Formats: sequence, structure tokens, C-alpha cells
Amino acid sequence: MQLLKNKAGLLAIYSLAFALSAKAQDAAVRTVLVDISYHMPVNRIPYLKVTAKEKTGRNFIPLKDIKGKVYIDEEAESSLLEEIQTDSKGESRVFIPAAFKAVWDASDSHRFIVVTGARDELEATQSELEVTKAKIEIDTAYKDGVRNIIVKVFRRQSGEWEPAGDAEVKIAIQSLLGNLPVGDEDTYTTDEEGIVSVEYTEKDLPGDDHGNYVIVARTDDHEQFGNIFAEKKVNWGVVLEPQDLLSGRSLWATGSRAPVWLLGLAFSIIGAVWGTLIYLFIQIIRMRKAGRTAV
Amino acid sequence: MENQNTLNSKKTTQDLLPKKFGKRGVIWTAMLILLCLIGAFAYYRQLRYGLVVTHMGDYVSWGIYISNFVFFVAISLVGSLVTAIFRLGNIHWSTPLTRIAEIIAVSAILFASFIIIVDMGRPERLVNLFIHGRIQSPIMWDVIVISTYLVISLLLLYLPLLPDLKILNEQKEKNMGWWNKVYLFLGGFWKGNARQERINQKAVLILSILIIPVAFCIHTVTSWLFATTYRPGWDSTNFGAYFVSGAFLVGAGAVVIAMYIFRKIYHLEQYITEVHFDQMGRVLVLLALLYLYFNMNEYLVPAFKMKKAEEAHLVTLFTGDFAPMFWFSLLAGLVIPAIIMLFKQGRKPLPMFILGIMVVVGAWFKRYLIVTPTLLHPFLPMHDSPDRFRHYFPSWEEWAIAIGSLAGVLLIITFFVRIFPIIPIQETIVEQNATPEK
Repeated sequence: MQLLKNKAGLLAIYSLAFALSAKAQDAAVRTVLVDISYHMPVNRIPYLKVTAKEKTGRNFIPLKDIKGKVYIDEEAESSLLEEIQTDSKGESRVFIPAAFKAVWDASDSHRFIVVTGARDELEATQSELEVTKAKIEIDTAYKDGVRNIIVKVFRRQSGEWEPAGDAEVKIAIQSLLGNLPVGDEDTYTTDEEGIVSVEYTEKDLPGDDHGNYVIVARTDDHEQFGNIFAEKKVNWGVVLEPQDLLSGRSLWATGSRAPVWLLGLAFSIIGAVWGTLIYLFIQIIRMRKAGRTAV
Repeated sequence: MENQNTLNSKKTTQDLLPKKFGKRGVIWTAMLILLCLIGAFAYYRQLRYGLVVTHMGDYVSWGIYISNFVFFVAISLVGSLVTAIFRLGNIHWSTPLTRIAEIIAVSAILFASFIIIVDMGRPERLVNLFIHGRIQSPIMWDVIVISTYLVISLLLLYLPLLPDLKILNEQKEKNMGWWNKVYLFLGGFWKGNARQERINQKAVLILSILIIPVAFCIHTVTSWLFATTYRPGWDSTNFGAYFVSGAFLVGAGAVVIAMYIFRKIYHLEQYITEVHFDQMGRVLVLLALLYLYFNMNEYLVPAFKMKKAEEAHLVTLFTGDFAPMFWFSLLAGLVIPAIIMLFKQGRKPLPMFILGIMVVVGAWFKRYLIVTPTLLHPFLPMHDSPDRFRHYFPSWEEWAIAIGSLAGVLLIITFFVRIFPIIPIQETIVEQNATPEK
């Protein structure tokens, strides 16, 4: 009986030691989470943004200096787009090189593969993203006295641009410190013809010095299209007349353009004080004369 | 009675006429001239090699020169306090102190103007201030108000001196040879007739009124050189009053030091009495409490809020690198003198002299603390700057010029005392003769 008890105790100790050892080994290996997103800006080269991070508790911590390789369509040296290394934000950008134009044009969709190597206790990873080529067009119309913004989303299919239904797009007016959403909704979904039409009622938004501003439309991390952008300049804004802060009279202008009130105030005080001093110098002259004439 | 008055007048005149330097006076003057020459050599080096000989840099661009400038402007305010405010307030005990205060004011303001030119680095560009001057700039206001204050102070020194110049002109045989020509040029026209007396009294009264707002302006505008910029330690609406109250305190401290030295060296115990020290002690207590009040406003309120941008600056003052200097200037230069002077024994001549020195030295360090720590704590982080820009300690050239300028102020006062009566002779005689009739 005593022997059984001893064996049970030893078993419990071994089990605990094994569990702790397994946990220690788990803790020693850290999992890298690699995220790939595709971006197609207006009139610019498409690029991929690769983000490396790890989960610690409830937080995601960016991983710096993660090295990896980015391939297009297959993991082969001939398909290597670029070797990457993440920055302090855990990010790296890969622009599609011009040398891959033929590969890019050859297919309606592409697969991007990111492979990161193991480093210290960080394990090696492989992530993929499948992207279908898409584009957005913006048009405007004037219906029943109301301006309309018409956004059309197309996807590449069998070498042709086909309407992309059920795609979520964001529509906004571009501004200096952030875009101004159009309408009441945050996002709009295209109909079967790939079209979204939004009434635009703003009439007093400031534009540039010709009254122009830019309408922008984009998909936001769409599962097939990624992030694609479109923009259109419209002449709907209020003409901005730049305020000339330098040519008028002001506290920050040159001396010759000092504010009139300041000139008046300053010269009144200077005149009053120095007028009194001149009067006192005259009194000294009078005292000199009084010294010569008085008995 | 009339004979007695005449005898008293003769004695007073003999007592108060300027006297030749003794051995100590010659050594003192030689020492001051030597310090001025060393300062001049350092300034030559600065002109020759540029401001690079100083330890000022991208951050501390106003160093010991501007501290000295603020100190000189502050000390010059005493002219308006003793000469004008006391005169308008019919405070007669201050009569023997008026000329001491006024010569301190004139010499200090002269060197305040000089030290600004030294700080410029390229003094020939001073002319641009007048060609391209901007009335919107507080620097322009400072130039205008300093030159105005200098003229008023000179007039306030000169006009009450006229009756004494008559006395000096009447005693040609006792004066140095060629100085008789100076006395004659300055006061030869003064006959002391009723018309001249009337004009002179009216002129002095006008000057006494005029100098008060100009004196307030001079130090308020100097404070605005700092307060109109958005920086930790300077961004204050309190600065004008804070500067003016501190200036009156340091000026009064300087007068007390001068009173003690002149009394001791020229044996003026009969004219600068213990009553004068007692009264000046009371004035100093009042001014110290006033300045303490503004100090509390200036430091406690920002420290209570401890805004991030102000924090580094305040911590440096309270517990950091500048803490010894900060607490010395506050305690030794303000709190301890005020407490000691509350007691009658503390207002005796020797304690007052020592306390006066503490107040003036504390005030000098205080000006250094107003200028330098703020510049070492800019709002934007210090990036890509050499380590020497992050600290400031003046170079030997800066020390030599600053000490030379302080010696220059003392040299002007020393020469003035040798040439002119430091206590107004005529006014003292008039007051002596009027006293028995009361």
C-alpha cells in the first residue's frame, strides 16, 4: 500500500514536471503572425504591405527586423518579388517591380506568398493572399436638381472588366487632414451592376482657388480586391480666396506696415515724454539766461 | 542764530565736498580699471573671433550677457524709487540718499545699454535697428525706453546738482585744477536767484513725476522681452509686476551697500545716520515681501499645475542642476534678509550692509536663473545637437566682460564721488537750517 502511494506520488511529480516542461517549450517558441494587404493607389504602382506581429496577452506587438521573401503566384526564385525586413512598426512595403509586368498582365488574379525565416525563438512562417484585379470608376450626374456621385466597381474576369456586385466601397471628399465621408453611411454596397449612387447635397464646402475638390472612393481590405482607390476632381466647391496675412498692417509685418493703432499709441507716448523732456531742456536754457540777467 | 547757521553751513560744506582718494581709494580704482581692461580685452577677442568665443549656442542664445543686462536695468530702477517716489511722498529722510540712488541708476543704465551691444556680436549692425526698426517689436520698445530713462536720470542727477556746482565753483582753490572748468561749464550760470530756484524746482518736480511711469515701463518692457515669447518659465502674465518688484528690491539693496561704504570711508556718520539704515531696512522688508509674493505666483502656480512642458524646467530649478542657485537666490537673497530686517538690530548699519550684499548677489543669480534654464528647456526635443549645446556655463571671455561691466558701473560711481558731492550739500544745509525752526 505504501509502495502504491509512493508510486502515485512519483507519477504526480513526473506529470507535473512534464507539463511544466511542455509549457516551457511552448513559451520558448513564439508564433509570428504575418498579415499581407494589397494596395492599388490612383496612378501609382500597386504594392503589398506586409505586417509582422505577435500576440502577447490581449495585445498585438509589432515585430521589428523580421526578414522574409515575397513571391508572386509560386514559391520559386523566378517568382521572387523582393526580400523584405520589417521596420520598427513591424511593416514592410513591396512594390510590384516593372520586370514582372508580363506576369502581372498574364492573369486576372494573383497569389502572393510571404515566407519568413526562423530567428531566435521566433518560428518560420508562410502566409498567402489571393487578389483579383479590380478597379473603381467615379462619375457624377445631376438628377432632379440634386448632385449624384456614381461609383462603379469592376473586376477582371476572363480578360474583361465585369461589374462587381456586392462590393463595399467608401466614398469621401478628400481634405487636408482626413477625408470627409459623403452621405450618412460609412460604406455603400454595389448593386448587381457594380454601381453605387449617392445623393450629394453639400453646397458650401470650400474648394481650391478654382472651387475644385476631389471625390475619392475605395475598397477597404476587400477579401478579393484588397485596397483599390479612385478619385475624381469636381468643380462643386466654394472658391477659396486665400487670406493674405502678410501684405496688410499687422503685428508681424515689417516696420513700415505696423498697425495704425500701435503707431498712434507708441508715438503718442514717445511724443508726450520727449515733448516734456524738450520742455525741460528749454527750462535749462531759461535758467542760463536767468543767471546772466538777474542781479 | 544766523551765525550758528553759517557755522553749520560751513562745516556741512567742508564735510560733504568731494575728497581726494586715499591709498585705499587708489587701490580700489586701480583694481576696477584692471577688471575693465581685462573685460575690454575679452571683448576685443569676441570682436576678433566672433561670438564663438562664448559658450552660447543654438539653445542658450541669451546667456550671462542678458542676465547682466536685466540685472543692470533692475538696479537702475532705484533712481525712481528714492529720487522720485520718496520726493513726491515728502519723505525728507531720503535727502542724503537721492544722489547715491541717481548715480547708481545712471551708471547701471549706461552699462545695460553697453551689454546689449556686446550681446549682439556684430555691433556695427546696431544701426539696422534704427534703419529697419519695427515698432511692433518689444526689443524696439526697450531701446526707446532705455534711452529715454537714461536722459531722464541724467537730468534728475544734473538739476539737483546745480546748487552744489555753485558751491564747488566758489571753492576753486580746493578743487582739482582742470575740473574747475567742468564745474564752470556745467553750473557756471547758476546764481541761485529766485527765478532760477523756481524754474529748477518745477523742473525737478516734473522729472520726478515723469520718471515713475518711464521706470515702470523700462522694466516691464524688459520683462516683455521674455514674456511675449511662448517658453516655459517666461510664458507669464505676471512678469511685468514680478520684474518691477524685484528691481526695486535689488536697487534698494545697492543703495544700502553704497550708503554704508560712503559713510565709512568719508566719515559721513552725521549725515547718513542709523535712522537712514533703519528706514531703508523697513523699505527693504516691504519690497522683499512684495517680491516674495510675486515669486510665489511665478513658481507655485505653474508647479501646482505641472504642465508637461513646464515640468522639466521647474524640476531643474527645484531639485535639479540649478537648485543650489535657485534656493540661494530665494533664501539668502530674499527670505533671510527680510526676516533679519524685521528686527531693529538687523537694521543697524553693519547688518544692513551684509544683508544688502546678500540681496544684490541673490538678485544677480536670480536674473541668471530667469534667462538660462528656460533656454535649456525648449518645447521641441533637442535632436541632432552637440552635447555642449545642452548645457551652459559661460566662457572666460563672458565672465571677463560681465565682471568688467560690473566694475565699470562701480568705476563710474567711484569717479563721480571723487568729482561731485555724493550727498546734496545745499539741500542738506537748507534742511538743517529749517529743522530748528520747527
